Amino acid sequence: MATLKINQLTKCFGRHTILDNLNFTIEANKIYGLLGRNGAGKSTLLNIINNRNFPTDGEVLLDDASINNNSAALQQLYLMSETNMYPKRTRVSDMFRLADDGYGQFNFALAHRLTKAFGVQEKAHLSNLSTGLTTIAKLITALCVNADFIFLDEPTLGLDAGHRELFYRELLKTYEERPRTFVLSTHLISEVQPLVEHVWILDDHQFICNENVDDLLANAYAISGPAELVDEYTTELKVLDHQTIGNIKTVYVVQPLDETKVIPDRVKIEHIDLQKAFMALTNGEEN
Amino acid sequence: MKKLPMVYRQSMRSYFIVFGIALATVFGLQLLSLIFAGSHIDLNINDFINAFSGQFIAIAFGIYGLFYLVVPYREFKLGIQNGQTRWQIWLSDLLGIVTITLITFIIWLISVGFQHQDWLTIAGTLLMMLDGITFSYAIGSGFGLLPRKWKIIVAIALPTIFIFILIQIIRLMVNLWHPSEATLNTLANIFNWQGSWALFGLLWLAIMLGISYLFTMHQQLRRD
Repeated sequence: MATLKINQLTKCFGRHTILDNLNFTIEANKIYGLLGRNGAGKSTLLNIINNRNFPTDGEVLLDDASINNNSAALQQLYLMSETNMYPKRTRVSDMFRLADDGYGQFNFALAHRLTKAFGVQEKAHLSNLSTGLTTIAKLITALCVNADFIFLDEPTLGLDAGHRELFYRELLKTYEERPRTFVLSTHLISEVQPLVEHVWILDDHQFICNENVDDLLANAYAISGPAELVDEYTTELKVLDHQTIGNIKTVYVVQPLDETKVIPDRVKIEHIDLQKAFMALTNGEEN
Repeated sequence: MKKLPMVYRQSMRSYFIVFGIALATVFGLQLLSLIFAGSHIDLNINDFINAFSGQFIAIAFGIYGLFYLVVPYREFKLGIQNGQTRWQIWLSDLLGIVTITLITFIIWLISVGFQHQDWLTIAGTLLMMLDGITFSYAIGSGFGLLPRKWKIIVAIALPTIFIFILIQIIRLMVNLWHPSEATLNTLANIFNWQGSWALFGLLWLAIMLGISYLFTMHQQLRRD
Protein backbone atom coordinates (compact mmCIF):
# COMPACT_ATOMS: atom_id res chain seq x y z
CA MET A 1 0.00 0.00 0.00
CA ALA A 2 1.20 3.48 -0.88
CA THR A 3 2.55 5.74 1.85
CA LEU A 4 3.04 9.47 1.80
CA LYS A 5 6.17 10.71 3.50
CA ILE A 6 6.74 14.31 4.42
CA ASN A 7 10.42 14.97 4.99
CA GLN A 8 11.89 18.06 6.68
CA LEU A 9 9.16 20.25 5.31
CA THR A 10 9.51 23.97 5.93
CA LYS A 11 7.40 26.79 4.55
CA CYS A 12 8.09 30.48 4.96
CA PHE A 13 6.13 33.45 3.70
CA GLY A 14 8.64 36.25 3.56
CA ARG A 15 10.31 36.33 6.96
CA HIS A 16 7.51 34.38 8.65
CA THR A 17 8.00 30.68 9.15
CA ILE A 18 4.65 28.91 8.92
CA LEU A 19 5.83 25.30 9.04
CA ASP A 20 9.16 24.36 10.51
CA ASN A 21 10.89 21.09 9.65
CA LEU A 22 7.89 18.74 9.70
CA ASN A 23 8.50 15.02 9.38
CA PHE A 24 5.64 12.57 9.30
CA THR A 25 4.04 9.76 7.37
CA ILE A 26 0.53 9.34 6.04
CA GLU A 27 -0.36 5.68 5.82
CA ALA A 28 -2.86 3.98 3.58
CA ASN A 29 -6.47 3.39 4.66
CA LYS A 30 -6.49 5.47 7.80
CA ILE A 31 -8.56 8.47 8.84
CA TYR A 32 -6.45 11.29 10.19
CA GLY A 33 -7.37 14.50 11.94
CA LEU A 34 -5.28 17.60 11.33
CA LEU A 35 -5.96 20.10 14.09
CA GLY A 36 -4.61 23.51 14.83
CA ARG A 37 -5.71 26.99 15.73
CA ASN A 38 -6.46 29.59 13.08
CA GLY A 39 -3.33 30.47 11.14
CA ALA A 40 -1.43 27.42 12.40
CA GLY A 41 -0.61 26.41 8.82
CA LYS A 42 -3.05 23.53 8.24
CA SER A 43 -4.22 24.71 4.81
CA THR A 44 -0.68 25.59 3.79
CA LEU A 45 0.45 22.09 4.73
CA LEU A 46 -2.36 20.47 2.73
CA ASN A 47 -1.65 22.70 -0.26
CA ILE A 48 2.00 21.66 -0.22
CA ILE A 49 1.20 17.96 0.13
CA ASN A 50 -1.10 18.29 -2.89
CA ASN A 51 1.52 20.14 -4.96
CA ARG A 52 -0.55 23.33 -5.14
CA ASN A 53 2.23 25.21 -3.40
CA PHE A 54 5.93 24.57 -3.13
CA PRO A 55 7.70 24.12 0.20
CA THR A 56 10.56 26.44 1.06
CA ASP A 57 12.49 23.34 2.02
CA GLY A 58 11.87 19.61 2.27
CA GLU A 59 9.90 17.22 0.13
CA VAL A 60 6.73 15.18 -0.14
CA LEU A 61 7.21 11.60 -1.33
CA LEU A 62 4.69 9.02 -2.43
CA ASP A 63 6.33 5.61 -2.33
CA ASP A 64 9.73 7.31 -2.27
CA ALA A 65 9.08 9.38 -5.41
CA SER A 66 8.60 13.11 -5.21
CA ILE A 67 5.02 14.18 -5.89
CA ASN A 68 6.17 17.34 -7.67
CA ASN A 69 5.11 17.15 -11.32
CA ASN A 70 4.58 13.43 -10.85
CA SER A 71 1.40 12.46 -12.68
CA ALA A 72 1.09 9.00 -11.12
CA ALA A 73 1.43 10.49 -7.63
CA LEU A 74 -0.98 13.38 -8.18
CA GLN A 75 -3.55 10.92 -9.50
CA GLN A 76 -3.60 9.44 -5.97
CA LEU A 77 -4.16 12.73 -4.15
CA TYR A 78 -7.30 14.83 -3.97
CA LEU A 79 -7.73 17.99 -1.94
CA MET A 80 -11.09 19.55 -1.21
CA SER A 81 -10.65 23.04 0.16
CA GLU A 82 -12.45 26.31 0.74
CA THR A 83 -10.59 27.92 -2.19
CA ASN A 84 -12.65 28.14 -5.34
CA MET A 85 -10.74 26.19 -7.96
CA TYR A 86 -13.39 26.26 -10.68
CA PRO A 87 -14.37 28.86 -13.28
CA LYS A 88 -17.40 31.01 -12.46
CA ARG A 89 -20.09 29.24 -14.48
CA THR A 90 -19.17 25.72 -13.37
CA ARG A 91 -22.12 23.48 -12.55
CA VAL A 92 -22.10 20.79 -9.86
CA SER A 93 -22.32 18.17 -12.63
CA ASP A 94 -19.25 19.79 -14.28
CA MET A 95 -17.27 19.18 -11.08
CA PHE A 96 -18.15 15.49 -11.29
CA ARG A 97 -17.26 15.35 -14.99
CA LEU A 98 -13.94 17.10 -14.41
CA ALA A 99 -13.05 14.75 -11.55
CA ASP A 100 -13.87 11.85 -13.85
CA ASP A 101 -11.72 13.35 -16.61
CA GLY A 102 -8.85 13.95 -14.23
CA TYR A 103 -8.88 10.82 -12.07
CA GLY A 104 -11.04 8.39 -14.03
CA GLN A 105 -13.70 6.02 -12.65
CA PHE A 106 -15.62 8.69 -10.80
CA ASN A 107 -18.45 7.09 -8.80
CA PHE A 108 -21.39 8.79 -10.54
CA ALA A 109 -23.95 6.47 -8.94
CA LEU A 110 -22.85 7.50 -5.46
CA ALA A 111 -22.67 11.14 -6.54
CA HIS A 112 -26.28 11.05 -7.79
CA ARG A 113 -27.43 9.42 -4.56
CA LEU A 114 -25.58 11.96 -2.42
CA THR A 115 -26.83 14.99 -4.34
CA LYS A 116 -30.37 13.76 -3.69
CA ALA A 117 -29.65 13.02 -0.03
CA PHE A 118 -28.09 16.45 0.53
CA GLY A 119 -30.63 18.26 -1.65
CA VAL A 120 -28.16 19.72 -4.15
CA GLN A 121 -29.20 20.34 -7.75
CA GLU A 122 -26.60 18.87 -10.11
CA LYS A 123 -27.43 21.50 -12.72
CA ALA A 124 -26.92 24.38 -10.29
CA HIS A 125 -24.01 26.75 -10.90
CA LEU A 126 -21.51 26.84 -8.06
CA SER A 127 -21.62 30.63 -8.05
CA ASN A 128 -25.36 30.49 -7.27
CA LEU A 129 -25.03 28.10 -4.32
CA SER A 130 -24.80 29.11 -0.67
CA THR A 131 -21.56 28.48 1.23
CA GLY A 132 -23.01 25.32 2.73
CA LEU A 133 -24.26 23.90 -0.54
CA THR A 134 -20.97 24.73 -2.26
CA THR A 135 -19.17 22.82 0.49
CA ILE A 136 -21.56 19.90 0.00
CA ALA A 137 -20.93 19.84 -3.76
CA LYS A 138 -17.18 19.76 -3.09
CA LEU A 139 -17.60 17.05 -0.44
CA ILE A 140 -19.63 14.85 -2.76
CA THR A 141 -16.91 15.18 -5.40
CA ALA A 142 -14.28 14.27 -2.81
CA LEU A 143 -16.20 11.21 -1.61
CA CYS A 144 -16.75 9.92 -5.16
CA VAL A 145 -13.36 10.66 -6.71
CA ASN A 146 -11.03 7.80 -7.56
CA ALA A 147 -8.01 8.70 -5.39
CA ASP A 148 -6.33 6.91 -2.49
CA PHE A 149 -5.58 9.97 -0.37
CA ILE A 150 -8.43 12.39 0.20
CA PHE A 151 -7.68 15.63 2.02
CA LEU A 152 -10.65 17.59 3.36
CA ASP A 153 -9.83 21.12 4.46
CA GLU A 154 -12.68 22.53 6.55
CA PRO A 155 -15.16 19.95 5.23
CA THR A 156 -18.04 21.27 7.32
CA LEU A 157 -17.75 24.96 6.45
CA GLY A 158 -21.27 26.40 6.37
CA LEU A 159 -22.96 23.03 6.92
CA ASP A 160 -25.90 22.80 9.31
CA ALA A 161 -26.02 20.10 12.01
CA GLY A 162 -28.16 17.76 9.89
CA HIS A 163 -25.88 17.96 6.88
CA ARG A 164 -22.79 17.53 9.06
CA GLU A 165 -24.25 14.37 10.58
CA LEU A 166 -25.14 13.05 7.13
CA PHE A 167 -21.64 13.83 5.86
CA TYR A 168 -19.98 11.94 8.74
CA ARG A 169 -22.24 8.95 8.09
CA GLU A 170 -21.55 8.96 4.36
CA LEU A 171 -17.84 9.37 4.95
CA LEU A 172 -17.76 6.24 7.11
CA LYS A 173 -19.94 4.36 4.66
CA THR A 174 -17.75 5.17 1.66
CA TYR A 175 -14.67 4.39 3.76
CA GLU A 176 -16.07 0.93 4.60
CA GLU A 177 -16.98 0.27 0.98
CA ARG A 178 -13.67 1.47 -0.39
CA PRO A 179 -11.00 1.94 2.29
CA ARG A 180 -8.61 4.82 1.57
CA THR A 181 -6.92 7.56 3.51
CA PHE A 182 -8.85 10.59 4.66
CA VAL A 183 -7.28 13.62 6.28
CA LEU A 184 -9.79 15.91 7.97
CA SER A 185 -8.67 19.40 8.85
CA THR A 186 -11.32 20.99 11.01
CA HIS A 187 -12.16 23.06 14.05
CA LEU A 188 -15.15 20.89 14.97
CA ILE A 189 -13.00 18.55 16.99
CA SER A 190 -15.71 16.89 19.08
CA GLU A 191 -17.64 15.96 15.97
CA VAL A 192 -14.74 14.29 14.18
CA GLN A 193 -13.36 12.52 17.25
CA PRO A 194 -15.35 9.32 16.61
CA LEU A 195 -14.05 9.22 13.03
CA VAL A 196 -10.33 9.81 13.33
CA GLU A 197 -7.77 7.18 14.25
CA HIS A 198 -4.71 9.36 14.31
CA VAL A 199 -4.30 13.01 15.10
CA TRP A 200 -1.77 15.70 14.30
CA ILE A 201 -1.89 18.95 16.21
CA LEU A 202 -0.08 21.87 14.65
CA ASP A 203 1.05 24.62 16.95
CA ASP A 204 3.89 27.08 16.83
CA HIS A 205 4.93 25.87 13.34
CA GLN A 206 5.37 22.25 14.41
CA PHE A 207 3.44 19.17 15.43
CA ILE A 208 2.96 19.12 19.16
CA CYS A 209 1.06 15.87 18.83
CA ASN A 210 1.39 13.08 16.27
CA GLU A 211 -0.22 9.96 17.66
CA ASN A 212 -3.21 7.65 17.69
CA VAL A 213 -6.30 9.25 19.18
CA ASP A 214 -6.78 6.35 21.61
CA ASP A 215 -3.19 6.60 22.84
CA LEU A 216 -3.51 10.36 23.23
CA LEU A 217 -6.79 10.19 25.12
CA ALA A 218 -5.58 7.33 27.32
CA ASN A 219 -3.15 9.81 28.84
CA ALA A 220 -5.31 12.93 28.73
CA TYR A 221 -6.80 13.85 32.10
CA ALA A 222 -8.70 16.53 33.93
CA ILE A 223 -7.74 16.57 37.59
CA SER A 224 -10.10 18.57 39.77
CA GLY A 225 -10.72 19.28 43.42
CA PRO A 226 -9.69 21.73 46.14
CA ALA A 227 -6.92 23.89 44.74
CA GLU A 228 -4.29 23.02 47.37
CA LEU A 229 -4.87 19.25 46.97
CA VAL A 230 -4.80 19.45 43.17
CA ASP A 231 -1.58 21.50 43.28
CA GLU A 232 -0.03 19.00 45.66
CA TYR A 233 -1.02 16.03 43.46
CA THR A 234 0.21 17.65 40.25
CA THR A 235 3.51 19.05 41.48
CA GLU A 236 5.50 16.63 39.32
CA LEU A 237 3.16 16.80 36.35
CA LYS A 238 3.29 19.13 33.39
CA VAL A 239 0.10 21.14 33.75
CA LEU A 240 -0.99 22.29 30.32
CA ASP A 241 -4.04 24.33 31.27
CA HIS A 242 -6.11 25.08 34.34
CA GLN A 243 -9.41 26.59 35.45
CA THR A 244 -10.34 27.82 38.90
CA ILE A 245 -13.88 28.41 40.15
CA GLY A 246 -13.86 29.49 43.79
CA ASN A 247 -11.62 27.02 45.57
CA ILE A 248 -12.18 24.29 43.02
CA LYS A 249 -9.37 23.91 40.55
CA THR A 250 -9.24 21.81 37.43
CA VAL A 251 -5.97 21.14 35.68
CA TYR A 252 -5.40 19.38 32.39
CA VAL A 253 -2.49 17.07 31.74
CA VAL A 254 -1.59 14.89 28.80
CA GLN A 255 0.90 12.38 30.13
CA PRO A 256 0.83 9.02 31.95
CA LEU A 257 0.00 9.27 35.64
CA ASP A 258 1.99 7.54 38.33
CA GLU A 259 -0.32 4.68 39.33
CA THR A 260 1.46 4.22 42.65
CA LYS A 261 0.78 7.78 43.72
CA VAL A 262 -2.12 8.07 46.16
CA ILE A 263 -4.98 10.20 44.94
CA PRO A 264 -6.29 12.52 47.66
CA ASP A 265 -9.89 11.81 48.70
CA ARG A 266 -11.49 14.94 47.32
CA VAL A 267 -9.50 14.95 44.08
CA LYS A 268 -11.24 13.59 41.00
CA ILE A 269 -9.45 12.34 37.90
CA GLU A 270 -11.33 11.97 34.62
CA HIS A 271 -10.40 11.30 31.04
CA ILE A 272 -11.03 14.20 28.72
CA ASP A 273 -12.17 14.25 25.11
CA LEU A 274 -10.13 15.26 22.08
CA GLN A 275 -11.32 18.85 22.09
CA LYS A 276 -10.31 19.35 25.73
CA ALA A 277 -6.97 17.65 25.06
CA PHE A 278 -6.46 19.91 22.07
CA MET A 279 -7.25 23.00 24.14
CA ALA A 280 -4.91 21.88 26.86
CA LEU A 281 -2.10 21.13 24.41
CA THR A 282 -2.43 24.39 22.55
CA ASN A 283 -3.19 26.20 25.80
CA GLY A 284 -5.81 28.20 24.05
CA GLU A 285 -9.48 28.36 23.35
CA GLU A 286 -11.23 26.43 20.66
CA ASN A 287 -14.97 26.49 19.92
CA MET B 1 -0.02 11.32 -20.82
CA LYS B 2 -3.47 9.85 -21.27
CA LYS B 3 -4.91 12.61 -19.07
CA LEU B 4 -3.49 15.38 -21.22
CA PRO B 5 -6.72 16.49 -22.87
CA MET B 6 -8.55 17.29 -19.60
CA VAL B 7 -7.42 20.92 -19.28
CA TYR B 8 -7.35 21.22 -23.08
CA ARG B 9 -10.97 20.13 -23.43
CA GLN B 10 -12.11 22.52 -20.73
CA SER B 11 -10.22 25.44 -22.23
CA MET B 12 -11.55 24.72 -25.74
CA ARG B 13 -15.04 24.62 -24.29
CA SER B 14 -14.51 28.11 -22.82
CA TYR B 15 -13.00 29.33 -26.10
CA PHE B 16 -15.95 28.14 -28.20
CA ILE B 17 -18.43 29.63 -25.72
CA VAL B 18 -16.70 33.03 -26.04
CA PHE B 19 -16.48 32.53 -29.81
CA GLY B 20 -20.19 31.65 -30.00
CA ILE B 21 -21.20 34.65 -27.88
CA ALA B 22 -19.15 36.94 -30.13
CA LEU B 23 -20.70 35.40 -33.24
CA ALA B 24 -24.24 35.74 -31.88
CA THR B 25 -23.62 39.32 -30.69
CA VAL B 26 -22.24 40.51 -34.03
CA PHE B 27 -25.00 38.70 -35.90
CA GLY B 28 -27.67 40.17 -33.61
CA LEU B 29 -26.31 43.72 -33.93
CA GLN B 30 -26.11 43.46 -37.71
CA LEU B 31 -29.60 42.02 -37.86
CA LEU B 32 -30.89 44.93 -35.77
CA SER B 33 -29.26 47.44 -38.09
CA LEU B 34 -30.82 45.60 -41.04
CA ILE B 35 -34.26 45.79 -39.42
CA PHE B 36 -33.83 49.49 -38.75
CA ALA B 37 -32.98 49.95 -42.43
CA GLY B 38 -36.68 49.10 -43.05
CA SER B 39 -37.82 49.20 -46.70
CA HIS B 40 -34.23 49.02 -48.00
CA ILE B 41 -33.87 45.50 -46.66
CA ASP B 42 -33.29 43.82 -50.06
CA LEU B 43 -30.63 46.30 -51.00
CA ASN B 44 -28.76 45.79 -47.74
CA ILE B 45 -28.24 42.00 -47.72
CA ASN B 46 -24.77 42.21 -49.27
CA ASP B 47 -23.83 45.04 -46.92
CA PHE B 48 -25.08 42.89 -44.06
CA ILE B 49 -22.86 39.96 -45.03
CA ASN B 50 -19.83 42.18 -45.57
CA ALA B 51 -20.30 44.10 -42.33
CA PHE B 52 -21.00 40.89 -40.42
CA SER B 53 -17.94 39.06 -41.70
CA GLY B 54 -15.71 42.14 -41.26
CA GLN B 55 -16.72 42.64 -37.65
CA PHE B 56 -16.71 38.96 -36.85
CA ILE B 57 -13.17 38.50 -38.19
CA ALA B 58 -11.99 41.48 -36.13
CA ILE B 59 -13.57 40.02 -32.99
CA ALA B 60 -12.23 36.51 -33.73
CA PHE B 61 -8.71 38.02 -33.85
CA GLY B 62 -9.41 39.95 -30.66
CA ILE B 63 -10.47 36.79 -28.81
CA TYR B 64 -7.47 34.98 -30.27
CA GLY B 65 -5.06 37.59 -28.96
CA LEU B 66 -6.58 37.93 -25.52
CA PHE B 67 -7.69 34.39 -24.65
CA TYR B 68 -4.33 33.09 -23.40
CA LEU B 69 -3.65 36.33 -21.62
CA VAL B 70 -6.58 35.56 -19.33
CA VAL B 71 -6.84 31.79 -18.90
CA PRO B 72 -3.47 30.39 -17.69
CA TYR B 73 -4.05 30.77 -13.93
CA ARG B 74 -7.65 29.61 -14.21
CA GLU B 75 -6.47 26.50 -16.05
CA PHE B 76 -3.73 25.89 -13.52
CA LYS B 77 -6.29 25.88 -10.71
CA LEU B 78 -8.64 23.61 -12.62
CA GLY B 79 -5.84 21.23 -13.60
CA ILE B 80 -4.17 20.98 -10.20
CA GLN B 81 -7.59 20.43 -8.55
CA ASN B 82 -8.12 17.47 -10.85
CA GLY B 83 -4.81 15.66 -10.51
CA GLN B 84 -2.91 17.22 -13.42
CA THR B 85 0.77 18.10 -13.28
CA ARG B 86 2.14 21.49 -14.30
CA TRP B 87 3.81 19.78 -17.26
CA GLN B 88 0.44 18.38 -18.43
CA ILE B 89 -1.20 21.77 -17.97
CA TRP B 90 1.52 23.42 -20.08
CA LEU B 91 1.20 20.81 -22.84
CA SER B 92 -2.59 21.20 -22.79
CA ASP B 93 -2.18 24.94 -23.21
CA LEU B 94 0.18 24.43 -26.16
CA LEU B 95 -2.35 22.12 -27.75
CA GLY B 96 -5.00 24.79 -27.17
CA ILE B 97 -2.75 27.42 -28.75
CA VAL B 98 -2.25 25.28 -31.85
CA THR B 99 -6.00 24.60 -32.12
CA ILE B 100 -7.20 28.19 -31.83
CA THR B 101 -4.36 29.38 -34.08
CA LEU B 102 -5.52 26.98 -36.77
CA ILE B 103 -9.15 28.12 -36.37
CA THR B 104 -8.22 31.80 -36.59
CA PHE B 105 -5.77 31.10 -39.41
CA ILE B 106 -8.49 29.38 -41.44
CA ILE B 107 -10.83 32.33 -40.80
CA TRP B 108 -8.07 34.66 -42.02
CA LEU B 109 -7.39 32.50 -45.10
CA ILE B 110 -11.06 32.51 -46.04
CA SER B 111 -11.42 36.25 -45.42
CA VAL B 112 -8.42 37.23 -47.58
CA GLY B 113 -9.04 34.52 -50.18
CA PHE B 114 -6.33 31.90 -49.93
CA GLN B 115 -6.13 31.52 -53.73
CA HIS B 116 -4.69 35.05 -53.90
CA GLN B 117 -1.90 34.41 -51.38
CA ASP B 118 1.57 33.02 -51.99
CA TRP B 119 2.92 30.42 -49.60
CA LEU B 120 5.48 32.83 -48.11
CA THR B 121 2.72 35.21 -46.99
CA ILE B 122 0.68 32.30 -45.66
CA ALA B 123 3.61 30.83 -43.72
CA GLY B 124 4.67 34.29 -42.52
CA THR B 125 1.17 35.06 -41.25
CA LEU B 126 0.98 31.73 -39.45
CA LEU B 127 4.33 32.35 -37.78
CA MET B 128 3.29 35.89 -36.81
CA MET B 129 0.08 34.57 -35.30
CA LEU B 130 1.98 31.95 -33.30
CA ASP B 131 4.46 34.59 -32.14
CA GLY B 132 1.60 36.83 -31.02
CA ILE B 133 -0.36 34.19 -29.14
CA THR B 134 2.69 32.68 -27.42
CA PHE B 135 3.68 36.21 -26.34
CA SER B 136 0.19 36.61 -24.93
CA TYR B 137 0.43 33.20 -23.23
CA ALA B 138 3.85 34.00 -21.72
CA ILE B 139 2.47 37.24 -20.26
CA GLY B 140 -0.67 35.46 -19.02
CA SER B 141 1.44 32.75 -17.34
CA GLY B 142 3.66 35.39 -15.76
CA PHE B 143 0.64 37.27 -14.47
CA GLY B 144 -0.61 33.99 -13.02
CA LEU B 145 2.34 34.06 -10.63
CA LEU B 146 1.54 37.51 -9.33
CA PRO B 147 -0.98 38.66 -6.73
CA ARG B 148 -3.55 41.21 -7.89
CA LYS B 149 -1.63 44.26 -6.62
CA TRP B 150 1.60 43.23 -8.31
CA LYS B 151 -0.25 42.47 -11.54
CA ILE B 152 -1.35 46.10 -11.75
CA ILE B 153 2.13 47.35 -10.86
CA VAL B 154 3.84 45.11 -13.41
CA ALA B 155 1.23 45.86 -16.10
CA ILE B 156 2.05 49.55 -15.81
CA ALA B 157 5.76 49.32 -15.04
CA LEU B 158 6.88 46.78 -17.66
CA PRO B 159 5.63 48.59 -20.78
CA THR B 160 6.89 51.89 -19.35
CA ILE B 161 10.36 50.46 -18.74
CA PHE B 162 10.33 48.82 -22.17
CA ILE B 163 9.41 52.08 -23.96
CA PHE B 164 11.97 54.01 -21.91
CA ILE B 165 14.76 51.56 -22.77
CA LEU B 166 13.74 51.54 -26.44
CA ILE B 167 13.86 55.33 -26.60
CA GLN B 168 17.25 55.37 -24.90
CA ILE B 169 18.64 52.80 -27.33
CA ILE B 170 17.37 54.78 -30.33
CA ARG B 171 18.76 57.99 -28.86
CA LEU B 172 22.18 56.40 -28.26
CA MET B 173 22.22 54.93 -31.76
CA VAL B 174 21.39 58.27 -33.36
CA ASN B 175 24.01 60.10 -31.30
CA LEU B 176 26.84 57.62 -31.11
CA TRP B 177 26.51 55.13 -33.90
CA HIS B 178 27.62 56.30 -37.31
CA PRO B 179 27.76 53.23 -39.52
CA SER B 180 29.51 53.15 -42.87
CA GLU B 181 27.58 52.78 -46.09
CA ALA B 182 28.73 49.17 -46.40
CA THR B 183 27.38 48.37 -42.93
CA LEU B 184 24.07 50.00 -43.77
CA ASN B 185 23.90 48.01 -47.01
CA THR B 186 24.60 44.78 -45.17
CA LEU B 187 21.90 45.59 -42.60
CA ALA B 188 19.45 46.47 -45.36
CA ASN B 189 20.20 43.15 -47.07
CA ILE B 190 19.61 41.27 -43.82
CA PHE B 191 16.30 43.04 -43.23
CA ASN B 192 15.23 42.55 -46.83
CA TRP B 193 15.91 38.82 -46.72
CA GLN B 194 12.73 37.09 -45.64
CA GLY B 195 14.73 34.33 -43.98
CA SER B 196 15.93 36.81 -41.33
CA TRP B 197 12.35 37.55 -40.35
CA ALA B 198 11.50 33.86 -40.33
CA LEU B 199 14.52 33.17 -38.09
CA PHE B 200 13.60 36.05 -35.83
CA GLY B 201 10.01 34.77 -35.68
CA LEU B 202 11.16 31.25 -34.80
CA LEU B 203 13.59 32.57 -32.20
CA TRP B 204 10.83 34.68 -30.64
CA LEU B 205 8.53 31.65 -30.62
CA ALA B 206 11.17 29.54 -28.87
CA ILE B 207 11.82 32.25 -26.27
CA MET B 208 8.11 32.71 -25.55
CA LEU B 209 7.60 28.95 -25.21
CA GLY B 210 10.59 28.78 -22.86
CA ILE B 211 9.29 31.64 -20.73
CA SER B 212 5.77 30.22 -20.55
CA TYR B 213 7.21 26.82 -19.57
CA LEU B 214 9.26 28.41 -16.81
CA PHE B 215 6.29 30.38 -15.48
CA THR B 216 3.92 27.39 -15.62
CA MET B 217 6.37 25.15 -13.79
CA HIS B 218 6.52 27.73 -10.99
CA GLN B 219 2.78 28.32 -10.84
CA GLN B 220 1.34 28.11 -7.32
CA LEU B 221 -2.01 28.61 -5.68
CA ARG B 222 -2.16 32.29 -4.75
CA ARG B 223 -3.59 33.55 -1.48
CA ASP B 224 -5.52 36.51 -2.99
